[in-house]
Amino acid sequence: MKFGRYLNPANAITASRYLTLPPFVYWMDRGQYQYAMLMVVLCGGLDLFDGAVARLFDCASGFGELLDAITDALCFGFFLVLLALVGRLPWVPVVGIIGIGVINAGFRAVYARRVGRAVNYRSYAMERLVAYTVYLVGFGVADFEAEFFSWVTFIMMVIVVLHDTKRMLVDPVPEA
Amino acid sequence: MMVSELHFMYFVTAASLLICGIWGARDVYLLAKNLPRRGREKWKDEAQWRDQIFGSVVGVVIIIIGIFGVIRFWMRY
Repeated sequence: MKFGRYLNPANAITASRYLTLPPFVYWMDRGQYQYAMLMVVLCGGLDLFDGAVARLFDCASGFGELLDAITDALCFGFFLVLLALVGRLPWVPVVGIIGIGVINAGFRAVYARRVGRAVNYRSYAMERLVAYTVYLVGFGVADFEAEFFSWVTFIMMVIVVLHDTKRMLVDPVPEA
Repeated sequence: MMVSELHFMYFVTAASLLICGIWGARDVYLLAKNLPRRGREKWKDEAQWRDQIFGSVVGVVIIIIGIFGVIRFWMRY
């Protein structure tokens, strides 16, 4: 069976992650943190499956990768902001984490321009840090050393982004 | 609530330590594989090799911080 570039099972799984946001808000508002945690786990779990489904149905595409990256940023950014709003995470590191994420995305665009084609700089350290941010959301929902983990994530993010900025903006780029 | 707060915290602790174990083992394995000379020679690009090493080091640091955070939580609980 042949699937289109936009309408395919992998993109459907990626898009379905947005469905976890309304119940998350509902249960956080009612103080039902364990149910809210389920939504975070579901959102993170679906993120693990979309790539595998794309390979299984042979429907991987540049659009799918972009949709996945945007969905990661919107869903986990939303979780972080909401947790800061209800006082489960401190504001300063949350704003710092999101701000650094936005700056990093801008540098990636500059890197692609330097290379001269649509290419993403693969940062192994940032991949780990993004995964860690998912756990930070979980720690925030559970109120499990959330302040400590927030500040650590922020400090680690500053270190990794300094490294990645040098790689993207200063170091030689790969030849086309 | 599905379970009591204490059991929920047990669950969060167990999940954190499980993830720390799997993730930590993977990054230590990657460091052991890539760091020696024979591992380094498999990478065409020196800069990418450095990125991979840096990523694994960051991963190990995150694991250590994660374990420290779990211990810190239970000491203050």
